[in-house]
Amino acid sequence: MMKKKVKNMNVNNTIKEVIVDTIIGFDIESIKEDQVFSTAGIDSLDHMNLLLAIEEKFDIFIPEEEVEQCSSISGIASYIEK
Amino acid sequence: MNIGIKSIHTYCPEYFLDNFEQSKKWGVEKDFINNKIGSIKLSRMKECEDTTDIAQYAVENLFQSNDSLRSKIQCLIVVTQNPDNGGLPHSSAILHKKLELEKNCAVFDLSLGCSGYVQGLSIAKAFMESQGFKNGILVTADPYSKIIDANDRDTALLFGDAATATWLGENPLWSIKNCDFGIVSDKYEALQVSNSKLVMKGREVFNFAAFYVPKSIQKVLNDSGLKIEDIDMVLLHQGSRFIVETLARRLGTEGRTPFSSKNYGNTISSSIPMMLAELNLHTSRRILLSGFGVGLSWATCILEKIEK
Repeated sequence: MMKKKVKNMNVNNTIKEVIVDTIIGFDIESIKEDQVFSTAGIDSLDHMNLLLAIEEKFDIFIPEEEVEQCSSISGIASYIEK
Repeated sequence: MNIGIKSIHTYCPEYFLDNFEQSKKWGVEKDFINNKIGSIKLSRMKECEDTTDIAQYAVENLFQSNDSLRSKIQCLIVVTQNPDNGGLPHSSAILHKKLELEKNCAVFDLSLGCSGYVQGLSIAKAFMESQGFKNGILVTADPYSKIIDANDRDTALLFGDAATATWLGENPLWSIKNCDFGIVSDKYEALQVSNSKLVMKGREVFNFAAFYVPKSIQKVLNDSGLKIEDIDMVLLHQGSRFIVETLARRLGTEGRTPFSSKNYGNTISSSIPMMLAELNLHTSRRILLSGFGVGLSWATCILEKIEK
């Protein structure tokens, strides 16, 4: 699946909305945009679920070798905007 | 002729691994075991036992409640990918001997994993109806303890051993209705045995299930002229608590999609019949089953209770 550039969109805020929708009870105010998810209480399975939701939201495919980059809000945003 | 499910009997070994204890070597927290894996214990057959032993215990539990059935069995099907003796002869042949069934009996294995029970129901029903068989047994027995690498965190915390025996025949309790099957075979490497040990790519299996299972369920509902609200219980393969709850959220069936493998783990093709045997389904009229995993394959069907 080809990546689609997302233009004119506040990507970081959209990623935060996806986090809130995907990880029940997660306090989005508790995480900084460059903070690695695992240090904010988002475990490996939540991360997996989050990446799937991001793929669906932005109509992109995140290959296995990009998962490490996509381990923070800003990391995901960078990948989406590549 | 309408072949369906008459009763289901199970066998779960009495020895268990403590998942909290074994998770310490990876520094896995209790909350992760409780809330994500979901199974605090994993059932294990004895080292001296093999697949057909636990299968035999499940079928003998069935015969205990119906003594005259043994001589009436016309087909015996075993769902397993961990057969005795590497699969030659087929485990169902070994089991047939152990159970002392009649010679005039069709006996074969189905090499399927977590989708095996639902596929097995459909195959058994079609086969029995085409041959006019009145009594058959569908066995699930896939003890992953034979292939688990105890040092692999991705798999060692998930799987338990168990076996089930489903009596199929006329005048059933549950009628087997519409089914849907499929496979994404270009992802088969996501769940396979390599060097005699199970290897799993968790993200690929998760993405597969999250994407294809809801579509399969919707297709079965559409084919049946039903809506998800018409289903009393949605029984999903018990991969982990996380996958069951994630799928329930995606389907909008929270409260009707139980996770019930807390005390024995993911028992592969046995997970759905274990639920059918253990849950209180007296008030349920229509149940949806969906198994998914090895292949990566799925199988979904609807069961409808026949009012007596």
